Amino acid sequence: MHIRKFDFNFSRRAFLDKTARGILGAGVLTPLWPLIAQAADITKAYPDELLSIEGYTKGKIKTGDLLTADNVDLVKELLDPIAFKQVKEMGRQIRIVASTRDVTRMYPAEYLEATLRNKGQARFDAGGNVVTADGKPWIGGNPFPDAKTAEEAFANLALSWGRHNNSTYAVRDWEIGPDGEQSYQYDFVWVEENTSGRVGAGGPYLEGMEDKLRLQSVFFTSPADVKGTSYLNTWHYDQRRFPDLVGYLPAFKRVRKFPTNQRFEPLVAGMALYLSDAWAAGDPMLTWGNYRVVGRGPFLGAVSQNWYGDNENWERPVHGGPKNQTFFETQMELCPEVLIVEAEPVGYSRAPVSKKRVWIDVRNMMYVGYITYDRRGDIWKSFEPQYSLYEKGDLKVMDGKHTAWSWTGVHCHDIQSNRMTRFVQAKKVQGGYTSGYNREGLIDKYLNNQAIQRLGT
Amino acid sequence: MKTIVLNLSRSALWAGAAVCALPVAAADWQVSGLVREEIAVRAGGHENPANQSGNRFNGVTVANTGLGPLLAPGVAPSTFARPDSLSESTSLNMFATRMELSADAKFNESFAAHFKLRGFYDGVGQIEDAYKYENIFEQEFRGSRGGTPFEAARKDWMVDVPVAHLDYNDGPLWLRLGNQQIAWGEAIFFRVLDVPNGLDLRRHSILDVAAEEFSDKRVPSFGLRGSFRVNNDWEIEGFSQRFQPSILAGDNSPYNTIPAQFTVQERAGYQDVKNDWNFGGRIRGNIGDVGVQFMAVNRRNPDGVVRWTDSKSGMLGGTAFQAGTGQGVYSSAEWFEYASLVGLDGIGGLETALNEFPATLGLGSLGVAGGCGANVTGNQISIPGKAAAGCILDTFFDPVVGMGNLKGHLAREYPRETVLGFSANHVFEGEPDSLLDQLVARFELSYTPDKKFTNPTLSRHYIKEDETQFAFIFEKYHKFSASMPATYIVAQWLHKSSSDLYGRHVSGLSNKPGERPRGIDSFNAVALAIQQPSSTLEWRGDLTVLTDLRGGWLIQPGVKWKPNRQMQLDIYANIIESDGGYDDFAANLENANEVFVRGTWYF
Repeated sequence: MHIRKFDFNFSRRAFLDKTARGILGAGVLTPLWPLIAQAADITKAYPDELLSIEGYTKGKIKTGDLLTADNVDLVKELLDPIAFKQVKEMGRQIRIVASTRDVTRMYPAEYLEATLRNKGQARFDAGGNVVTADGKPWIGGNPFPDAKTAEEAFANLALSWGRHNNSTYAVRDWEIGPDGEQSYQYDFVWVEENTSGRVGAGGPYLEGMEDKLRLQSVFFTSPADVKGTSYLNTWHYDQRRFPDLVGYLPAFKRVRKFPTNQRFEPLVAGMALYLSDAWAAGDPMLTWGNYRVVGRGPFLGAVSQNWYGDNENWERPVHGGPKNQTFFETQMELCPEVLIVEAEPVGYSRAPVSKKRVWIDVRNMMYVGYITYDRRGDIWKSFEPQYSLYEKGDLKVMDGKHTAWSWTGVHCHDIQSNRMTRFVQAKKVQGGYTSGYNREGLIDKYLNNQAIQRLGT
Repeated sequence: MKTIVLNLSRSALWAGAAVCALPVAAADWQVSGLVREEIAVRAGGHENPANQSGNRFNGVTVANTGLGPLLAPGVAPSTFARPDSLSESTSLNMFATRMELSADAKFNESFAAHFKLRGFYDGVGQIEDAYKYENIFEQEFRGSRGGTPFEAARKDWMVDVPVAHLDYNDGPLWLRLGNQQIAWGEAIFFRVLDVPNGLDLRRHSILDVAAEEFSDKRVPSFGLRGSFRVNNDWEIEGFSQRFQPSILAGDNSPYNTIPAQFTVQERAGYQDVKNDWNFGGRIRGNIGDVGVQFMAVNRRNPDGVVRWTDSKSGMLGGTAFQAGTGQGVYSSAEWFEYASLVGLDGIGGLETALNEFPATLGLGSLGVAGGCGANVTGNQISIPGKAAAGCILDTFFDPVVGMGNLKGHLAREYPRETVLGFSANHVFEGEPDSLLDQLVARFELSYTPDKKFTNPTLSRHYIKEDETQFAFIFEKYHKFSASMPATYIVAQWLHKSSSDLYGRHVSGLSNKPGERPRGIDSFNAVALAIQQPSSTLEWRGDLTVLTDLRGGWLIQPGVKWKPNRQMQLDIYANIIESDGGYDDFAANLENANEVFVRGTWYF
């Protein structure tokens, strides 16, 4: 049992004090990362009020309860403003689950091992890129697990999106219009492979690609009008440079280079998701600027128990909105401490976004909430990720030797036009493509010009 | 019907046999498709001059400048007039229904197969009397009357399988076997390196949405395409495909561009080479930040070249002409006008038709030529100018002393040629919002030594000349407003040393009726394409402008609307203008001034 030795407002005062003094190490009662390094248990770092929803709400909301319009005011400050509006006004319901104290359930195992192994070796070079002490590209894991600055926190997001050496996401996507009707539905496959900052056996770099960060392709497999549309991004390690983009458009029937600086636009009709939104770090990190920490504290994040492995194709029940289909069923837990970071798109002229605000869970330095603001400063879109360890009962997905951890679903809600893009990482999508991690031969299959041509049929 | 089925079945066996050997039951199959209504409404006053119904001389009286009035005074007519009864006015260019059904199978990580069935029915003949009996789709290449072995066609419909191939991928190796299209090159619409396949001009010619380029036009062909990725930067690719010719719009069909006073005999030329194969290879890679490509293709030119040929028709057998059709050329004025319209030499064409066909001697050609003031040396006739040529022609067209209206017969042949080329591209990086910011620059060049061109005189002695083509392409996204997605802008310049956009030799252009063509030095074209999507991509506005800088313009504004998953509506206009100088690409396309609408239902 955890001894309650601090009064209820202790954590609030502690967060305010740390923010005011610019102290950004994680943990309230004691530094978090030594605990993680020792036993991966965060319990001793936080008081009760930050480790359970009962503690935070003084028992008014309990683990297992549904968050609804009737009780969401109790946790208003634990939600981003759009999530609050969804629950308060649009019929969304969120199941509260127990907070995760064992952080091994919040990482791919090899990524956590690399994070611990390489802790303290990262720094920024003169150009602003993360390098090792001897100036080489990063060697895997979170470079700044106990981030002290907004830039460090963001570097953790930017250098490895999916936190596996490679990931194949079979994505099923639904677009919900302002009237609550489903207007479009897409199947696509997103493939990413880090060429630097790799973890596990094989070393941190792919030979000959040390100057790159990752290869990433996306190809649509349904419906017929977009089937075959395929893009390949080659990301430079230098985060000041835009990726190289080649694409296959069915109309052209050949692979061509495309400009890649327009990153605030839908990929396909009706989609609220922009390239810029991916992983809250969809752009080269240094094309954004004015990074700053604007707050810290507890937050409700969908970081566990969100894998529907026992459902058909891992898809989800839906509810809410005008037609009762706007939102996925989602589990959230009280994240004891998040960093709230803002940044501005300084490298983009006439960007429709004036800034983004990102909530980053200090336990795994992964974002749990992300909001963009329009040029007037009004809230525009949210990008709410849901994560999970991929196990449920006897069902389990492996990423090699270990149970996989990954995102499971996303709500991307344009609150101004009230368009919702929601998608899941499905078991399989049209075309026979399946989700998976750390697979062999992905570059040959999906991440080169030839593959883009072949997939583009 | 039995023939059609047999032909299709035989062709499908090529791909089908390979696929059936795989564990079909274990495959992931994906079936999708579309049904589309495509309607094009004429928006200009010009009927298609290449068709009988739109002939510029229908009902027009012109003087008989031949020897008839001298040889048979009072009997031979002093004037000619093409029957006005041939004229038909039209308001529709297309009234079509398209159906496409795709099936894609993934057998395992190495094998996949792809099929597409395409059906296209154009009912414009049910609405427009001018097209009631006209053939739009049938070809004379083969028994199925289809344009390819994977096609069956009748006058107003076609069904084909443009995609039927098996894919094999193992590491850096990729093979594709079956009926397939191959598109190469950097330029859009300008086919500098895009040489593996010809074009099918039967479905809305080349006037569909410009942004779709030739996706529905390239003629598929059975073949093997293979690619090997040497490393992350370099790839070697090759193909071998059975020869397939470009497919022309039918005689007297809405988008026909070959004057209907000609009969193009295609079967013989095709039969000679139908079992020939084209071959090509290219190397693609990066040198630093510059993408480069080197290619070579040895092919039968799918567009072909044409020459006068024996009509094998009655008393004019052995000559290039056919009498008594009622649909031939009626006067020298018509002859000269149409020669100019299509880039031929009206005078030289007459000389060739006489000199290269000795059977014309039996018709008294030497005497007529001499009587009209032409120079006759031995059996060879040399015509000094318009007056003599007009005299000879009108004498032959004279229904009393000559043979009346005459149709010309052409043979289409497909010379073998080798096309060499390279391209380079680079994405510039500049300050945000600067001109260079993410500007994509491309350059591509091809060189075809000893390329054969149709001789403007329609001589069997084709023009043989090296041709160089190149194109500069600049592409850029520019964000004009924060509230709208970026505007996509493409600017292109095409230069061709020896032929124009249609492949006509430049020596036949700049061609006043009745005069020998002056020719132009080279052909240049400039294109600008702009696309502006709405914030949700539900709407997209397009504007494409193409000019040859010689008075020919094609302007295509349009809107695409995709309100949901199933539906799409496209409304576009083709605005085509020629300054009438007989030297631009739009001279015989002005009838295609139109608004076209496409409503698509996807499933």
